[in-house]
Amino acid sequence: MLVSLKWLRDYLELPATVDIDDLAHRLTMASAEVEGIRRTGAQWDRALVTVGAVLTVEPHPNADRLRLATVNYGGAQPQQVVCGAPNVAAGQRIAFAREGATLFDGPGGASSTLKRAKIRGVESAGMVLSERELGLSDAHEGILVLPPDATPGTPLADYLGDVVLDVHVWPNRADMMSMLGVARELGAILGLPAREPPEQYREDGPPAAEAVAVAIDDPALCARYIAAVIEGVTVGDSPRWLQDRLRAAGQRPINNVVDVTNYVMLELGQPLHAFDLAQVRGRVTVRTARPGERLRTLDGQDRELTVDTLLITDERGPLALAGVMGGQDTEVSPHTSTILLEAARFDPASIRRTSTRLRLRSESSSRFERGLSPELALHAARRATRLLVELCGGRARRGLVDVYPRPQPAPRLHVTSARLDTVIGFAVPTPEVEHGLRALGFEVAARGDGFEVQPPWWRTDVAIPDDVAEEVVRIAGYDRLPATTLAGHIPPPEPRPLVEARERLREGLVAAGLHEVITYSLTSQEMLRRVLPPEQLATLRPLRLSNPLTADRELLRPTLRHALLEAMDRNLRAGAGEVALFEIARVYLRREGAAGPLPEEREMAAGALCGFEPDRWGRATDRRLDFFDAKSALEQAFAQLGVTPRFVAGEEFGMLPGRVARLRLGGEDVGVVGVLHPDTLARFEIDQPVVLFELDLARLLPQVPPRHQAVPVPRFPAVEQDLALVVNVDVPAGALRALIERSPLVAAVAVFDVYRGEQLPADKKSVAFAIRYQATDRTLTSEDANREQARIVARLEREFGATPRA
Amino acid sequence: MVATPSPQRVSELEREARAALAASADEAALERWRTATLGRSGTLTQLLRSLGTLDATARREVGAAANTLKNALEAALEARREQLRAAALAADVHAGTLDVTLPGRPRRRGALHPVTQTLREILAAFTRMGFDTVEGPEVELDEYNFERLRIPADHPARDMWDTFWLDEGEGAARLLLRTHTSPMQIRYMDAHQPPIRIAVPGRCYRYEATDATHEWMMQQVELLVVDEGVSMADLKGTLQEFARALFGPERRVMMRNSYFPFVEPGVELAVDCFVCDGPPRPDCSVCRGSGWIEIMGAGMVHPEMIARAGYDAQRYTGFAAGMGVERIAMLKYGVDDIRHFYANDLRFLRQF
Ligand SMILES: [Zn+2]
Repeated sequence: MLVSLKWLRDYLELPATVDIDDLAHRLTMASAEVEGIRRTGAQWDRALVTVGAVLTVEPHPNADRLRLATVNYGGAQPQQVVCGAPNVAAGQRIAFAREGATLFDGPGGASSTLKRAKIRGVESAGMVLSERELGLSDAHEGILVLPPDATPGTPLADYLGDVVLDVHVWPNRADMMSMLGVARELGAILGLPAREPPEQYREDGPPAAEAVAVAIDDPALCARYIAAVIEGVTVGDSPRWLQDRLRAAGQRPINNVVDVTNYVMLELGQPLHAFDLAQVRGRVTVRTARPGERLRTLDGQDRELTVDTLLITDERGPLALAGVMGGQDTEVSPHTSTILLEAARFDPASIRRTSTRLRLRSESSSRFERGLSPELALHAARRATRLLVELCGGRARRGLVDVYPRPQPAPRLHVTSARLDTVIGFAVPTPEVEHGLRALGFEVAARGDGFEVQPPWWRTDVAIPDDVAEEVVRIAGYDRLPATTLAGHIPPPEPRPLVEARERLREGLVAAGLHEVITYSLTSQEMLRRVLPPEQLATLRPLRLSNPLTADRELLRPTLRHALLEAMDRNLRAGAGEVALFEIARVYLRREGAAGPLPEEREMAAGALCGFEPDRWGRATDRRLDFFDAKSALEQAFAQLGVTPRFVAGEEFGMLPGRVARLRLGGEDVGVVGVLHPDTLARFEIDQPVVLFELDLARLLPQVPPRHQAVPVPRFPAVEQDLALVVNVDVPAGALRALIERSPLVAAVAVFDVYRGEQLPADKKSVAFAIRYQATDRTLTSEDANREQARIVARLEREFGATPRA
Repeated sequence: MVATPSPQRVSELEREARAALAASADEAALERWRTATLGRSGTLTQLLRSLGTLDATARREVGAAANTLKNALEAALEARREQLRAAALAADVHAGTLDVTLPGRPRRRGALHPVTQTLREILAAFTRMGFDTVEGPEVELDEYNFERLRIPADHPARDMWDTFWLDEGEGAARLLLRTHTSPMQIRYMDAHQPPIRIAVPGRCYRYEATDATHEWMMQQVELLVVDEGVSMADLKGTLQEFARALFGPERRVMMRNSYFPFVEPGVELAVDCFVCDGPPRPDCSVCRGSGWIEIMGAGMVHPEMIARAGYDAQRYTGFAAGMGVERIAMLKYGVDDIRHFYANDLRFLRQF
């Protein structure tokens, strides 16, 4: 809402010099945010650009198209200047600039300084200005003619200058979508009474009701419909002041009739519509559209109407989309002489539905959809009729046609002092409560334990006592609130083991040297195809947005993999030598069956490692980060969680066969880690090996023990022995180790060497283990250890064909 | 031929032995010296053995001198050994002098994302004030994201939240990406009884173009308190504590009028500019010369929502607030463009 300060002064006795920034600040604090302040005329030199009176106009002696004008600009002597404008005439009030004044080339255009000059032999030391030279518009055909009341010598900045506030009005404040509403609000804040604009006019001729009849089909959609009839209007341009005000509010003047309706909408907040009554046949009915009905609207579009569209109709059919846009057939034209003026209260939701569906959001719909008071229609009908009589030469028929089937009584609220104190948190003194509310137009009476409050009719947003509390505190000032501490007892926190485990995993991965990334939840089919097999993608059917911002963000992702690879690619391109990333985030999966309306949001962790390990000097070595770097990062993180998933050779789409481990824990597949297939990498334009892991936290985290159980430190010494075994190359070291670990005397076992080569047959390898034997109840001798190791070797031979290496 | 033991011979032997000891420069030389002097056939041992050739008086005299010498030489050997050890250590230490200005050994280092770090700080501040942390769904029903927050379809307040809609469900059951964490107010109140004191972190989404201060994906933290006697002053005090935890103990907060359909009264909350930290500077890029930085929307939970949850709206009041984690992170770390956060460039992430 654009608020012209000059216009505002019609309703509010603001001091002559007012601190605009302070005004804007106070309005922002208490009512609605002032998002911008635009000053017009601030660029005009107060001494050199003034109101002038044209005293005489004479022909230029040496040029047919130029004239000599004598101008009283407020100085001791009138000044003669050369003027080229065709519309200059004696007696006019104009904008006059003297030598040295700054002139402009249209709004935002370059500025220049006015110099004394000889034009066709005649000295000229000033200029009669057009809107262009003032920077007001690009119009330069004629000079700017001011109203006759302008006093010569007045700085033009005072006469024409203005300050326009751009006020962001909250959706609940229908009343503030108007000059009067803002004036009332500022009045309450500043302690000044707001003046209402005059509504009286002389009625003339037969009753309006004889010219038009109105019916409302459904009062739920149209609570009130007021029609005024004004005859004998002359359609033409509005007076200058009216046009100026419309422009200041961001509207384009059209003709005096339409301008009056727009003016009153801006002034009071009630959208109005003017019909050419000669084009209306029979009774006016407010009803919803019938199947198949059409209407050609003011913008020339022939629109097919859906059945819930609220219409203004006559005998023949639709005349206008109620509250949204008029129809072409009844549009006010230069030939119009009788006007049907509509002031109505339409259902906000209906107006919003129609205007949204037809993409016709407007100043009008934005007011109706906030919910106007039915009282407002009456004030606006009267005010607009007065102006139509005054400005368009019309005669108002007697009375108004006012259809208001179910008048709403003004709400009365009982607001207890206790409630005010509780909500606000400190006791605003009773006189201050009463004074503040009255300043806002409320009726207040102290009653029993509180107040009997009646909101003014224009405050449709005040419905409950807490609404009144807001009024009290915003006028009293929020800075008076003390800052207190919550007094109640602290509710016991609910245990959230999964969240805690997730955060420990996050820390574990960071401790293992990975950087956390946060990537977008939305992606595209194309991106998912890079990381998921087609049949899986078809089964998953990722959830789709109906209004994506861009085509590459239209699906809710069912995996994190592509996002990690995108981030990897970006960092490799940026020249990173070693990249290790992870993310913990949700993927979005359809639920099978009737498991509720919401999709499953499953938490996943994914990570990717790539690049070369740095040497002691931080320079890249030739050792690439590989599968085992990823595995150690995972093992480190798992250790932090107190779980030990098994790494089992497996396979996975997009990964290289033979370089993939599935992670098994408690009988469940909790994730995968593997080297990506070059084909997958090529889809991300990555040209070096990447190891990727993905963990299903929904399966992993429930298995995390709530807390570590301490194990006593061993009391008896251990015996360390090495064991080298020769086995077939396809026997996993992990299987050998698992068997060794089964012995009750084995406290720890670690692989320390794997050998393949010429000393062994091609299909054999040697795996060396360091084994620590230890008992909990006695000191083991090396003979004990030897005996146990012999038993283990026998078992290894039986199960894996392993032989001890000599 | 062995010289006859005599006091002169003892003195002579001492001179020779001390000179030889001083010339011994390592452990092997010391050992050789010990053998030659104090060993079984060493010179001093020989001298002691040959004392029997003397008469009793001379034997006593020379014997005492020789035994004294033996003790003295043994002590001298130990002293020399210690001297050599200290010299060797000093040489080692010198040879091993470190250039302490060389870089440390590189080790792969990870870090939490700055938004995660900020989120943790925010939650820690509220945890200290007794708030429990609760999470909720990102894909929501219109019912929870809007309707039950008193934002019905066709209400102009819907314009305050540009929404990503899903191709699923209709009306109140239509799915959307939550535009705020506020739906958890409803979900939590439906399942719990007062007193309530929760913080709800999570991703939210807005259908809006990205620029330096707007992302279509963001993380929010929602606060909800419901109890007997909760007031706007409590809201102010709680959020002042929070502002102090994050931005310094001197911080103050300011409220101004605002509107959200699910609170009444509604406010916008600002913290005084910690960059200016005093009178506002006109050229301050953080507060733009106003001295205040808006950090969240808040208000008293609308009594209709309290009643709808099944609580006694006369007895219970509450407050709610919501803030953007990225915005707080930008303020904390002096990040000038929100788009840095989700670009995931290590050159940015490594700074935190
Ligand atoms: Zn500042």
